Amino acid sequence: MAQAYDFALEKIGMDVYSYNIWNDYIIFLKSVEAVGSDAENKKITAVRKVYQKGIMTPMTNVELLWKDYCTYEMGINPMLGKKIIDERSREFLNVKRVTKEFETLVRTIDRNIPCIPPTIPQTADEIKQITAWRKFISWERLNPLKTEDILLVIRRVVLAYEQGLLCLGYHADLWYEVCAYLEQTSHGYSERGDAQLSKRFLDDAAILYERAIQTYMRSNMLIHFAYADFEEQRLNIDKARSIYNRLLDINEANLKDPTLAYIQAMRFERRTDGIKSARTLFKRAREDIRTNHQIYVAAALMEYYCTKDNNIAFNIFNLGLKKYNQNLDYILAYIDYMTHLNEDHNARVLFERILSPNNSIFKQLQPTIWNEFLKFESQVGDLQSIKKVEKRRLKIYSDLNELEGRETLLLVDRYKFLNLLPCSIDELKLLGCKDLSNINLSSTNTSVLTNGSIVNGTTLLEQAVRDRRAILPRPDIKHMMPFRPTRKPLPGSHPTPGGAFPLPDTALYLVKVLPPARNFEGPFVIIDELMERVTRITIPDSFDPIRFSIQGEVIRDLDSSNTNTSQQNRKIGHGDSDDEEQQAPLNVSERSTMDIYRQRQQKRVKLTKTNSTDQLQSLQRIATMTCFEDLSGEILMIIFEYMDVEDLWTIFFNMNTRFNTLVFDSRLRLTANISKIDKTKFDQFCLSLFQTNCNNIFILILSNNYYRYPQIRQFLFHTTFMYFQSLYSLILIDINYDELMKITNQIKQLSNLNHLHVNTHEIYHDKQLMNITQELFNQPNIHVLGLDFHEKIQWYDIKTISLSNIEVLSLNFINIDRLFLLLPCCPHLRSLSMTLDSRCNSLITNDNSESLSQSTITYPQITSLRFYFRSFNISALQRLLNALPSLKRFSIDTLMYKEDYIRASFWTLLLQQRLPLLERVRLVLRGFFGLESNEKINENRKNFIGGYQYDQYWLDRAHKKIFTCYTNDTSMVLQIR
Amino acid sequence: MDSVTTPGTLNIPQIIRSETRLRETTYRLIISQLFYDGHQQLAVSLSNLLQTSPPCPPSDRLTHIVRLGLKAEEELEQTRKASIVVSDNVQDIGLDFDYQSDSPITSPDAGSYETFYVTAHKAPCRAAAFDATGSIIATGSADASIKILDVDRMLIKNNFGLDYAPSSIESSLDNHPVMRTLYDHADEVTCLDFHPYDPILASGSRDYTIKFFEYAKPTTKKSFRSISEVDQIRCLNFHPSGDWLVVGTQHPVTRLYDVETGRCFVSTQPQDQHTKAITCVKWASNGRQYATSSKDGSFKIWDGVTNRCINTFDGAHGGEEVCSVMFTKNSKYLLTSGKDSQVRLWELSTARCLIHYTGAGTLAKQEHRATCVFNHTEDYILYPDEKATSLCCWNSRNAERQRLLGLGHNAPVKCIVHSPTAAAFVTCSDDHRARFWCKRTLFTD
Repeated sequence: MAQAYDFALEKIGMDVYSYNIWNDYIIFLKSVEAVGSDAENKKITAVRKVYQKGIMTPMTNVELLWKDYCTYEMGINPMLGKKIIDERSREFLNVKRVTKEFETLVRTIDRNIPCIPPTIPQTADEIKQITAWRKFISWERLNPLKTEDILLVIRRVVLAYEQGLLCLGYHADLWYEVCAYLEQTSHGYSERGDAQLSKRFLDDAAILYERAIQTYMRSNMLIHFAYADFEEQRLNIDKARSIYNRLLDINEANLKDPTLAYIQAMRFERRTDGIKSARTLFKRAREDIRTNHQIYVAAALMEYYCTKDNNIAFNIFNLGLKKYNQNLDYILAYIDYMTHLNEDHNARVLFERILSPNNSIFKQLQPTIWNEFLKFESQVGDLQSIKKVEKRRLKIYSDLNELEGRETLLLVDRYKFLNLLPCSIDELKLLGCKDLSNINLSSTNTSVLTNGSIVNGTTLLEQAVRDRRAILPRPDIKHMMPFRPTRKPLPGSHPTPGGAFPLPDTALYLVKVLPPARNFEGPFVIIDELMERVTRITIPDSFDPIRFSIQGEVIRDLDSSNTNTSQQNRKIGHGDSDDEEQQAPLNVSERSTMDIYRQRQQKRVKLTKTNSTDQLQSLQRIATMTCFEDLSGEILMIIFEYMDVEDLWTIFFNMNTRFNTLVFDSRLRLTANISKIDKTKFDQFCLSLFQTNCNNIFILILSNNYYRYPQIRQFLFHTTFMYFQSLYSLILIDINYDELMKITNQIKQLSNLNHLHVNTHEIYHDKQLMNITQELFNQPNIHVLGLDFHEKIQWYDIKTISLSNIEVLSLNFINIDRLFLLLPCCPHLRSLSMTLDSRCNSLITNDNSESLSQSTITYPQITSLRFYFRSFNISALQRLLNALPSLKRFSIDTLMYKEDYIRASFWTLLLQQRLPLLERVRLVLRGFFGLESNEKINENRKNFIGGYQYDQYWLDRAHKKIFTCYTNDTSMVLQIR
Repeated sequence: MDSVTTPGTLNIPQIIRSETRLRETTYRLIISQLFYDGHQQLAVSLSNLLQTSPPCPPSDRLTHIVRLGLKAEEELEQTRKASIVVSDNVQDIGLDFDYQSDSPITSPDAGSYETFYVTAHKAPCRAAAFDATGSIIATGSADASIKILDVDRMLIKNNFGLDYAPSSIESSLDNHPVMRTLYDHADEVTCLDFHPYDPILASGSRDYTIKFFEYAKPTTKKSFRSISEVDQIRCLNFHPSGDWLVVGTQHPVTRLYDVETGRCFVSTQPQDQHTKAITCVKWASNGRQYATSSKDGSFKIWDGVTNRCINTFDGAHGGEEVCSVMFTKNSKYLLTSGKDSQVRLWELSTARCLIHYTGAGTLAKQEHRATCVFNHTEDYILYPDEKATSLCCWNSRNAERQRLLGLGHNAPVKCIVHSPTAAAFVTCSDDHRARFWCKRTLFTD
């Protein structure tokens, strides 16, 4: 049993996957019953031996074996075991390293592929396998274990080869390599004098050769020849002969054409036995029907070269010619031989014999022979014979209908030598030469063949990959648009949303190279002024060459008159008197060049003089014409301010640098009415607003109303009002309480915010309403406040409002009492506009005394009043007018039912008494006419209304002003401006 | 030729030139053959159906032509074989309905795969990729890490390591199946793809970047290049030449990157683009076209040269989000999966749905995306069922359902990738694990 294991390990113990066997063996050895200490010791040594051998072998899981071994040693004798392990561990580390390499090499090898003849177009897999095996074998040959034991290396290499041959048995090169390797090693040993080893390896090689020719390489002549040579070298002549015999054996039908084998065998026989036995072999070959004409050539040449006997060779050739008189190759070989013999006569005879009419050689083949003949004649014959041969050749060509009048070409044939030609290649092409290209091609072809034979599998594979990669269609950027994905691109920066155009490559490079923009600190060109200069410039009639002197002064050389030059000299002297000496010669040379220049210019001026006036006029015309972009920046900015910010950016942003600077000019005050943008656009816009330049936003309108989405919330989500430092006016539509509170907190920071208008349909609780109004009134910066809550404003506790800065106030629904409570808090109020709630009338009548006392306080600062009276109330109006004595502008819109109030005299009296300073009046009286029947209206209308038109008071007021008074079905309007 | 005698018929080149005429001629030949072979009824009904005029005489011509054609085909095949120096696996033509469809299936169905290796991330595993030779795997996870696994090492480990002493093996770093772990992204790795020739891995992430790793270098920790995007990357795929990269992001615009320069290109037509986020993008192996699928329920076929959209299939999966696309190897067909738990095979030349693979998602409606793939021979289609966490498998030619394979994941499997060369695949699941599956008989000794 142990022997069997030993044998197995001897044979395949070096394999990478041999762990199983090693392990099994050890287990087996351990399991052997050992009785007595002697047997025990024996067992231990045996196990240790196997272990030590095993761990010296690179294979997978060698670590496991090592571990087992360690535990085993420690189990037997801890002290001694430790020592042994320490000794061994260094070697083991080496083995472990080798194992790693080993595994990586072996991994790609598939040992299970069947050994089949290789297909001629090699598949990728096969190529991979072969390269993997080769890599593995060459690795083994490099002695990866770095061991001193050369025998081990050889064993390993041979094992690798043998394993490879199991899968790649049809690869002759592997067989040859392994045998050559063995031969080489044996050579090494024999040189060292180790006859036994060298013999062993030679025997091994012989066995391998034998195996090869018995199995896969049965029909491979190469291996046979190699084997025969090998045996011949070992002086085993009989063995070698038997190899040849086996190869030539007719029964072995695997060799289709044994001619080459015969030739080699003949040569072998000549070497070993002399020419005699070679001749017998030739005889045998002649009898073998499978042989070809080459055998004759070989035999004849052998006779010629070895025995130096012309006659025998000649006879053999003639013999062959009988058999192969149709075979061009043979004939050519024969001719070659004959010409080299330098026997002109015999050669001519041969030619004539071959080309004689009774030799039925194919006509198509004849020209080549004729060519040879011609070559021969042109070398040795006289001109006469050359001409003769040529003529005959021409005849053949014409017989073959291949001539087509190309006699010249044939002439070329006569004169060419090797690859030297009597005319250039282009000329030959013109002559329509075909042979030439063939010649050239064939020469290149052979060279390609020799190159190609070197190409091995991997390069082929790489080549194929490269080819496949090269023929793949590729994206063509000419058909595409460059794109730079951008998080929040400005609207319209690329046709495809979500990106912008990248800079061109060269520009990108420039941008990368340039220092950052913030490093640039002027000077800045004021483009507007520059443009203005340009437009104002008067183009002179004549051309003045202008040059700058070294000092940067303008040199004007109007004429070559001395006055000018002297003046110029003086100027220079003025500028830099110290350098005058150095300057002078320079100037002289300058002037001389200048003179030529000026002369030319004058010529040109003369030529163009006739046209110059016309040109001037057209230039002026162009200057007066204005395009949009010719407008000055200020005007453009004013135009911009009339535009909506979104349109502005879509149109002008990124158009050119000038417009960019204008669009971003800090003086520009833009109105951003984003209340009517739909949702998708809004997000984008909001962020671009935030990103680019929110400092230009002067008026901002936000609304929750349009498109029904919470725009204000979105806005607050995306950005904050802090960024809008130049915001002047803010209009909020349909805002709810929370948002409004948030905004009021934010806008405290905005120093420029002056105008706030809130118009909302949202429902506020009383408490909320109170809070928010107080907040708003307490804003220190806001001077104009519009509150449109669509609900009555309630103040529970008016005291919380500190003195407000509001100057213009617009309110919706307030009753007169609360108004009077509010007014003291707004000392700066100039203008008031409101809807006065008349429902509070009851309150006033109840508390008449208090209200009267209140009304004694007057507010002379309020000069403008505009209000809407729900239902007319004379007492409330009177109170109001009492409190506001210095009104200049007065507008009232009221609903009234009493005829008296409509009369002109009523209003005349009221306003005369209260407001003598009144400048502008607007009275809108409604509701009256709808209540009564048509006849009565028509009756009364004139009486009531007509009064206004003729009332002297109104006409006086209207002096030099616009006075309108008109009526329609529901209302009457009186207006004085 | 009877074309001369029969009025109205055309000469052969004319017929071959026009597709409809070719069809008509074929049908006529079929009817004639049926008459000839005595199938009167069939022939009459067929000719009534097709309204052939003039009526077809009984004739044996079709048989004759088929004989000639088969012979010619064989010859053609031979010359083609002879002309190719290094041929790929010859029998590996993949799925093609134009050729014989009755060849026996040699590849194993999903039921016979086994788990060979499991690797765990710290967060849901969402992406995986095989390299072109099927020897390297990359997995990406929501924990922003990428693992590179070596297939051979996994197999060795399974074959030798587990059999003997799985616990006692010290996982020496050199031999560990996980070759590298790359932490270079800042957010979930959503997609991975190997360069078809060079050892380069491209990864896309939610951190708005695409990164390129030279994974073969042992020192690689960080990417050697990156492209910064402005949106979360969802999918990417290399052009078969490896010189171009098409990228789908959360943004609906499909981007084509020049890998060399990092320049980005889009179609000249803005209306070519999807309207919602792109879920998957794949090149055809011949490089002539690529396909994108989107959350908007459509998938698009794009021209590989001009980068223009050739065709849009709206509502390909009943309006549900299309989750994945995959070309067959011959680039003739496209496999798509959708959130309606169905897999469809589309013929691109006729722009129609050829086969409908049903039966997945019967337990409950699926909520997450799931990819469907062909196996390496394109004989089977694999698709993970979300609720059952099992793998559905269909015969790709006749849509016959095969054995289910329990995947053993505890959470939905969002990604499955099959090896391009061998019977092996990887499943990635939200239970943080990626499993490597393989057919055992192939590799065991």
